Amino acid sequence: MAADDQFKSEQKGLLTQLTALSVMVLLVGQIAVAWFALNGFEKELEPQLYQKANAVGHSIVERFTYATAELQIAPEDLVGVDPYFEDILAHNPDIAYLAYESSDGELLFVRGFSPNMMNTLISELPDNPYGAVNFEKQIEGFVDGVFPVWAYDGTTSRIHVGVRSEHIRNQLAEILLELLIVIAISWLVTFELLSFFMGTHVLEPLAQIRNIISNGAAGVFTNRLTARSRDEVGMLTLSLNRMLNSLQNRYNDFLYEVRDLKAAQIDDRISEKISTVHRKITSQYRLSSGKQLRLTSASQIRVPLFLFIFSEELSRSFLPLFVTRYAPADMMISQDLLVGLPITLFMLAATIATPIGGGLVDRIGVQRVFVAGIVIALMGFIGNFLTQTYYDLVAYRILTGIGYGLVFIASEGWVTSNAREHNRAQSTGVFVSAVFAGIVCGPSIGGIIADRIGFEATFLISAVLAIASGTIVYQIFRQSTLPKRPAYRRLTLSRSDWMKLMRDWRFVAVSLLAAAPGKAMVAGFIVYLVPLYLNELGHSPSSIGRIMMLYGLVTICLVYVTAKHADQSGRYLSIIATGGLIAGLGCVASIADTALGGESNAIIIAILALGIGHALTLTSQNSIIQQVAERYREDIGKASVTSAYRLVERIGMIVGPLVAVGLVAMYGFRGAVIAFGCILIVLTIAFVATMLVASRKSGLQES
Amino acid sequence: MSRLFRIVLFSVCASAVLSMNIVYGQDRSDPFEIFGVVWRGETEVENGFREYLTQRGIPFNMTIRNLNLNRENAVGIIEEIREAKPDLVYTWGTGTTSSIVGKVDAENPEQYIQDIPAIFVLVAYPQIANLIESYEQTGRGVTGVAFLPPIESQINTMLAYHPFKKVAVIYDKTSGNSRINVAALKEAIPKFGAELVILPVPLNEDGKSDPSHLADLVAQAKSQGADVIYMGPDSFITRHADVFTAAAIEAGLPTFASTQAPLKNSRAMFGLVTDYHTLGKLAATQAEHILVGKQRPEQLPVRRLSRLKLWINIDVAREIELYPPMSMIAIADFKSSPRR
Repeated sequence: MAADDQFKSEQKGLLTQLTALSVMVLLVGQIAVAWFALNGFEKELEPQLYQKANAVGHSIVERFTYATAELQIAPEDLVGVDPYFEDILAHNPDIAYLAYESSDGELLFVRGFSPNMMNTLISELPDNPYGAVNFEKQIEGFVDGVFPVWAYDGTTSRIHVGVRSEHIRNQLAEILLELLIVIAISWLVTFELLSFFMGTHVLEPLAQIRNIISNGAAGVFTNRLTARSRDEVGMLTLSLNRMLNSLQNRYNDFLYEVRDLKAAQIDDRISEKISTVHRKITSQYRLSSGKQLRLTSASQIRVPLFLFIFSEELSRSFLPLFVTRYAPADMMISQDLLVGLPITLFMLAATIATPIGGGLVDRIGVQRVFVAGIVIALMGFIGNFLTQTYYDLVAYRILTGIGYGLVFIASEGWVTSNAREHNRAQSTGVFVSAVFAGIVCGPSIGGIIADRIGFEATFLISAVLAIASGTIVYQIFRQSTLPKRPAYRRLTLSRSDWMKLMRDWRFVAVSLLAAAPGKAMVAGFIVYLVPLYLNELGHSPSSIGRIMMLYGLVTICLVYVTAKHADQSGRYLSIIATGGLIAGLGCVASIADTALGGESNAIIIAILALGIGHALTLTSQNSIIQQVAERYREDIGKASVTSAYRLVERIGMIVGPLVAVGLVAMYGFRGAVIAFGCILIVLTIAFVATMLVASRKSGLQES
Repeated sequence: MSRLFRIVLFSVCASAVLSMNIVYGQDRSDPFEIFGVVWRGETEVENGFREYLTQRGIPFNMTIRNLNLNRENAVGIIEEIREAKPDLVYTWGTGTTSSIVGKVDAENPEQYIQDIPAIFVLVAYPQIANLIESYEQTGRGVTGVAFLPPIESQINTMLAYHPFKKVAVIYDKTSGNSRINVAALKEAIPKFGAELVILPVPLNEDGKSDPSHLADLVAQAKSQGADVIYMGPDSFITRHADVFTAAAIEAGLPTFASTQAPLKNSRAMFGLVTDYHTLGKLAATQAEHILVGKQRPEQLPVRRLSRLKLWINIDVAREIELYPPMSMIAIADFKSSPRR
C-alpha cells in the first residue's frame, strides 16, 4: 500500500513538473511576444487616431470656411451647426467632442460633452497654441486638435476636435485582454495535450510495467504488454517483454533439465528431493499461460472529447445573435421564442440521442458511435456555415445536437469501460475536465474568431476541430483492441420504478429542485440570455465570449476544492443550499446594477455566482443521489437511479431556454435575470424544506 | 457542306454591312430635321438639347419657332411643320405642347400635328394637362421629360432650410398649371405640419391676372402671418418675378422657387429646381431613341431627372438674415443675384 501511494505521488509529480515547466517556457515566450506586439500596436494606433481626427477636422474647416469666407456668413449667424456636429459625432465614435470658437475666444457651438467640461475647456483654451493643428494639448483626458477657420473679414475662428485619450487605452486594454485569454487558453490546451500524451504514452505504460514488476517480485511473470509506440517507453516495454520471454524460455529449459535430472536418478530419495524442489519452484514462480495486457486508458478519450466540446462551444458567444439574424419577423410565434427554440431543440436532440447512442455503443462499439456522432455534428456545422434560412439553421442545429449526444455517450462509454476499479473516480475526472476545458476555451476563442471572420465562418472552424477530433479517435481505436464487455448497459426504468423514485422525497428534492434548475440556468441564462443581453449592452462577440468563459473557469477552478470539502464534511445539504443561494443572490444583485457599476458588471457577478454555486452543488448532488441509489440497489439498480437523475437534469436543460424566453418577454433582460435569481432562491428554500422533511421521515440525519 | 456554310456566312455578313449602311449612310448624307416650338424665346433647355446631340455625333438641323406667349400663333406654325415634314417635333411648355400636338382627347385631332414623333419639355403636369395618358405609357406619338420635382421633395427642402410655419402661394388663377399646383400644395402642406395661405392674383378687365397687385399681395401674405412665399411653375409669376421677389425682400419674406427662372433671372431666395441645361440633355436622349434607335414615342416613358439642384441666393439670404443650415451648405449651389 505504501509503495502504491509512493508510486501515485511520483506519477502526479511527473505531470505536475512537466506542466509547470512547459507553462513557464510558454509564459516567457508569450509575454515577450505580447509585449512587442502591444508596443508596436500603440505606436501604430495613436497616429492613426489623430489622422482620422485630422481628416474630420479638415472637412469641417472646409465647410466653415466656405460659409464664413465665401458665403460671408458671420460665424455667430451660422445655422444648424449643432445637428451638423451631432451627425459627425454619430458617425465617428472615436471623436469625443466638436467645438467652434469665435475669433474672440467665445465658444459658439459645442457638441459632445458636459457643461463642466466645457468650462474647463474655455479656461484652458487661451493657453492653446493657435493657428496650427496640434494634438499635444490634453484637456480633461481629451486630446484637443485645433483647426483655424478664416472668415471674409480676416478674423480667425477655430474648430476644436477632441479625441478621447482613453479611447486608445481602451482599445489597447481590449487587445491585451484578448492576448491574455489566448495565453491562458494555450496553457489549458497545453495541459490537456500533456495530460493526454503523458497518460497514454508514459503514465499508463509505466503503471503496467510497474504492475508486471511487482508481480515479478511475487514470482509471477505471466503477463505481457502490448508495445504500441516506438518511443523510449515502447522500447522499454519491448525489452521487458523480451526479458520475460527469455526468462520463460530459460525457466522452461530449467524445468526440462530438472525433469531430465529427476528421470536420470535411481535413488528415490534424491528423486523425491528433486520433485520437492520442482514443486517449490513451480509454486513460487509462474511464467506461462498469462494474458496480453492492453494499453488502453480512460485518458485516451480526453483530447478528442475536448476538441469536440471546444468545437461546439465556439459558437456559444454568438449563437442567439446568429439566430436573430435569420429569425423570420412575420411569424405567429414571438421573435424571442424563435431565438430560444434552436437552443431548446439542440438540447432535446442531444437528450434523445443519448440513450439511443447508448444502445448503439453496445451493438456497434464505442468507436463507431463516436465517429458517427462526429460526422453528424460535422454536417451540422457545415450546414450552419451555409445557412440560408431560419429553418435550415434550426435543422442543422438539431443535427449537431444529435452528434453531440452520440459523442457524449460514446465518450462516457469509453471512460467507464476503461476505468479500472482503483481509479474510477480519477477516470471520471478526466471526462469532466475535458468537457469543462472545452466550455472554458470555446466561447472566448469563438468570440475572438467571430469578431474577425464572422459568425458563419466560425462554424467552419468548428467543423475543422470536429474533423481533428474524429481523426484522433480513429487513430486511437485502430491501435488498440476494443473491450469485449458492453460499455453501456441500457437502463430502462419501468413505470413503477419511476413512481417509486418520484415518491422518494430526497430524489425529487435533488433532481427536481436542485439539479434540473441548475442545468436550466446554464441553458436558459448562460447560453440564451447572456449573449443577447450583453449584445444589447454593446458588447462584441469576443467580449461576450470572455464574460461567458468566467462560468466554466470558476467552476473548473473550484469544483475540485469543493468536492474534497464536501466529501470530507459530508454536509451535502448545507453545501447545496449555500450554492443555490449564492447563485440566486448573484442574479438578484442585478437590482442594484447601478451600484455595481452598470448592467454588464451585474451580469458578470451573476455569472460568477452561478459558477461558484454550481461548483459547490455538483459533487454534493451526486453524492446524495448515490446515497439514494444505494437504497434502491436491489429493486431498481444503482445505475438506473443515476440515469433517471441525469434524465431529469437534461429536461432542465430543455426547459431552461423556454423559461428564459418567457421571462425576457415579460420583464425584459434585466428583469429576467432578477426573476431567475428569485426562482432559484425559492427553489433552494423548497429543496431544503423537502430534504429536512425527508430526513425526519426516514430518521436519517445529515452528516 | 463547307460551301453551304460559306454562302450562309457571306449572306449574314452582307446583310450586316448593308443594314449598317442603311443606318449610317442615311445619317451621314441626310441630317435629321427637328422642328422646335417655344413659348417665349429660346432657353438653356434647347442649348442642352443641341449640345447632347452634337456630342453624340448625330447630324441634325433644328428649326425654332416662337409662339411668343400667344397660342393663336400656333396655327401658322402647324402649317409650316406640315410642309417641312420634320423627323421630330420639339415643344416647350404646357401651352405650346397642347397647341401644337393637341390633347389626348382632342375633339378635332386633325387640327394638330399627330403623325410626327414629338417630344415635350418644361411641361409641369403632362398627365393632368391630358397631354399623355400616363408617365409610363404615353399612349400616343408623344413623349418627353418631366421637370418639376415632386411636391413632397420641394416642401421637404423648404422646411429643411428653416422650420417655416405658414407658406403663402400667390398665383395666376387663369393658368391650369397653377391651379393644379395650388391643389397639390393644399393637400401636401398640412402633412408637414405647416399652414397654407392661398392668394390668387386679381384679374383686370381683359380677364387676365393683373401684375400691379403683386406687391400688395406680398404685403397681404406678410400680414396674414406667412413666413415664406412659394413660387410654383406659374409663367405669369415667373414673368413678373423681378417685381415679385423685390417686394418679398422688402417685406423680409424668403421666396422658394420650384423652377429655375426666378432664381436665375430674378431674386428668389432659394429653390429645388431642375437644371435646364441638364434637362435639355435628357430630352435629347429621348430624341436619340426616336431618331437613331427608331423607337416609337409610345415605347418611351416620360423621364425625370434624378439629380435636382438646391439653389440658394446667398445675397438675398443675407438681406433678410435667414442663412442656410450647415447641412445645406455642402450640397447647395450658391449664386449671387444677377447684377442690375
